[in-house]
Amino acid sequence: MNISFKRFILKMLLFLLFIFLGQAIIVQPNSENTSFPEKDLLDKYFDQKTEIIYFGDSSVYYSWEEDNDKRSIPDRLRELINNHSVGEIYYPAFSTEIYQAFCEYIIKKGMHPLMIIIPINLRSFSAGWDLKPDYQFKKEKYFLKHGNPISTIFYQPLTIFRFFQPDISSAQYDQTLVYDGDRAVGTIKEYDYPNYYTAWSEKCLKNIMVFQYMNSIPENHRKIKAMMATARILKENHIKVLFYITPIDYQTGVKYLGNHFMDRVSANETSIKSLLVKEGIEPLDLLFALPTEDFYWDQGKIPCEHLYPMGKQYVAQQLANRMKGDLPP
Amino acid sequence: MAFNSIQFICFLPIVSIIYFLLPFRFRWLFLLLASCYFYMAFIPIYIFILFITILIDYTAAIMIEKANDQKARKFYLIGSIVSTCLVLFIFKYFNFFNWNLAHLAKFLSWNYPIKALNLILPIGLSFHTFQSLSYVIEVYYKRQKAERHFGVYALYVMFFPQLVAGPIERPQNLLPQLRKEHSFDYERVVRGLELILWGMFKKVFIADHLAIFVDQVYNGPTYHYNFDFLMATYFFSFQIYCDFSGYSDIAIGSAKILGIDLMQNFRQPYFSQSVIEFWQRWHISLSTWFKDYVYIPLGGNRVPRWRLYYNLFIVFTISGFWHGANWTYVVWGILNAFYLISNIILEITQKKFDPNLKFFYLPKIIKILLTFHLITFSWIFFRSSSITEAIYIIKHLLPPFMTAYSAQWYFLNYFDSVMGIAFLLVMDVLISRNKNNSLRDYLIHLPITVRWLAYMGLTLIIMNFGVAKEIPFIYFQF
Repeated sequence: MNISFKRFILKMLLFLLFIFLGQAIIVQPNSENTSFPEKDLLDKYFDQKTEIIYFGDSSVYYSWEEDNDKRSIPDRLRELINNHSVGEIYYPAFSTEIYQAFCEYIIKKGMHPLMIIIPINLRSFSAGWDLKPDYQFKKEKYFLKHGNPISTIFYQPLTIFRFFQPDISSAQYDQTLVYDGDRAVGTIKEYDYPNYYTAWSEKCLKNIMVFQYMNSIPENHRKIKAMMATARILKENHIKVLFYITPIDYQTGVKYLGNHFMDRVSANETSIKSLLVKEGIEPLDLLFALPTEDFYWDQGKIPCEHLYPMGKQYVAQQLANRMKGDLPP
Repeated sequence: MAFNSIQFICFLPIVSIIYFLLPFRFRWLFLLLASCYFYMAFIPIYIFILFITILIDYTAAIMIEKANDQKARKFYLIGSIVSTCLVLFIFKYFNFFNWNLAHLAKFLSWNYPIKALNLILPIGLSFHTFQSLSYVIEVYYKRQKAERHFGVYALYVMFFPQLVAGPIERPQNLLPQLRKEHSFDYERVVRGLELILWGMFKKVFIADHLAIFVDQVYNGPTYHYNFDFLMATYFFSFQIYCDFSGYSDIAIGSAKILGIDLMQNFRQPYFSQSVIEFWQRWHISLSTWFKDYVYIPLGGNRVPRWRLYYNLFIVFTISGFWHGANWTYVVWGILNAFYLISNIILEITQKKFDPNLKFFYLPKIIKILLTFHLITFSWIFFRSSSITEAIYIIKHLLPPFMTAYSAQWYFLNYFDSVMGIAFLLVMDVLISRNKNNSLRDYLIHLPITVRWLAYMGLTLIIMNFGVAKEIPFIYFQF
């Protein structure tokens, strides 16, 4: 190695040191750089010694704008088990990977809630949810794992240089295959919703049901792995967990895809349940618990897991019934 | 892998250090593997398309060199051009032609059964296709020997700094450098790093800030008013310059660190005093490509006047089409051909009737402003997503109505952008005053403290005031 190379390396190190110092001087650490609202909320719950933490996606709180009763499922549950406090952490498209990150954060912080409730939404395993760039929550997962002063200083540069960008680009996402079981039937570009707004038809509804629920869910699916890891760490740390499989509009599925829909969805349901049972956890299965009338469709056109008040009340009641035995009086 | 990503910031130093530590005989292989990794960071499977192009042109060049008669040489050349362009056609132009034919068929009430292809354009396809073609054509004209080492040839096409958006290199410049041993050169590495820093500043700070407003206006023109269009069009002029010249600076700087000199792609084009001069200073590697491989074979300027204009029209129409499969690019190309032809006619008229510039005299600054506005106007077509949209914007461009309040609003909201443009212009003036038109030649005359403060200042500005939103390099789509 020649002298000029060594000289260069020394100068570079000196330059980097100056940059580090400069950055430390100009960046005032603040919570925006190491946190996000749901993490702050979780911290607040633990300051308040909240007993039950309820994670969820949009299906636990979305309401139709004309609903008279817009209470979320956690709100309803709180009323049903009024001697225990419930803190809800939810955001649209949250799923098992971010729940895992939250649970690891809970363990890391030494928190010990009485119980954690985690919904398993079957649609979250579909390519349209699992791989969607907007649903990767890379920044949130990073903050839950590495929220420290160094990342505070370098938060802005890391953001500018795409550290928090999803690994999958929109173009790659569009080209991802959509499966009916193990058979590829098209690409996401052909199946994703915005295409349907202009030309709505029965075929569109069939496609939506395929797109949302008809892929097989193998054991090595990253969201299954996240679910299993969550179950394991909570068990190891003696925190009770209630997994429940969220209701889906199966009647619409059967209407458009016939028994084939039930066969595929039941197979996925069995697979998820048996994996959790292996970990010693019996999930609450509400998959086929509600009729079409209890679901309100996104934009009035797209079947999804959002519920009318009756449906939400039913889920809250089922959760409350199940929790009774597991919580101290 | 995008240049403005954390991956590239880690990738470049690692590659550079390993490159200089490796014995010379392994360096080509290492650079080739690094380039493959760089390319595969986008869509891995597309490496095979690149490999096919490389294989075709590598074989064709050897066949051309070996062939005894001119007919066979021409046959191999045409075979190579057709097959290389076929890949480009399938990925880039098929859907455009298909869409237009389908509409024509609908208009004529014919049945048109061919469906559009569902393909993503491989990144930088137009660039490496042209680089590959340049090599085969040079071998055909016997200005370059066919490269026998497949790995070195593959590296010529795939060399990562210029793989996705140029500069489009010529074999005479790049191939010998890839075969030469480069030892670590402190001065060269510093030059490279300075270029990368300046390129990053142009892209991440100036271009990306400008892009926010430009995208807002051009993605939803019906929600905006006259002055917005005017501002967005001016902003786009600087955005595309900073975006693409920033990319080129990073590419040239990265190659320089490894000991390889790539050709200059921009020379302060907005200081041009005519459109002719602008095209000698903007995207130089593409302009010279078209000049060498289309314009001159068509006869260049040693043809009758009407034929010269025709040649220019052809070159600029193809150049427009090269940029993208959309009528907007074609119109942009034709508009520039029109400017250029008018420019030539004016020059000829001036030389004939007013050789001493008594009547035609225009101060330098007026010429620069005039050229800038002509070019800026043509960018409207380049940036719009359709001709209809471009016409809508042009119709609503004037008269720009602005109150003192809205002027203040623009200034405060786009302070970063305005300051960025001002700084860019000052730097361009300072750089252009140097004999070699180089950033380093300007910086080297500054005291070391000032230089280090400038490095630190730029780095900290990029790190803290760059745009966090993902705004891809404009030329990546070509």
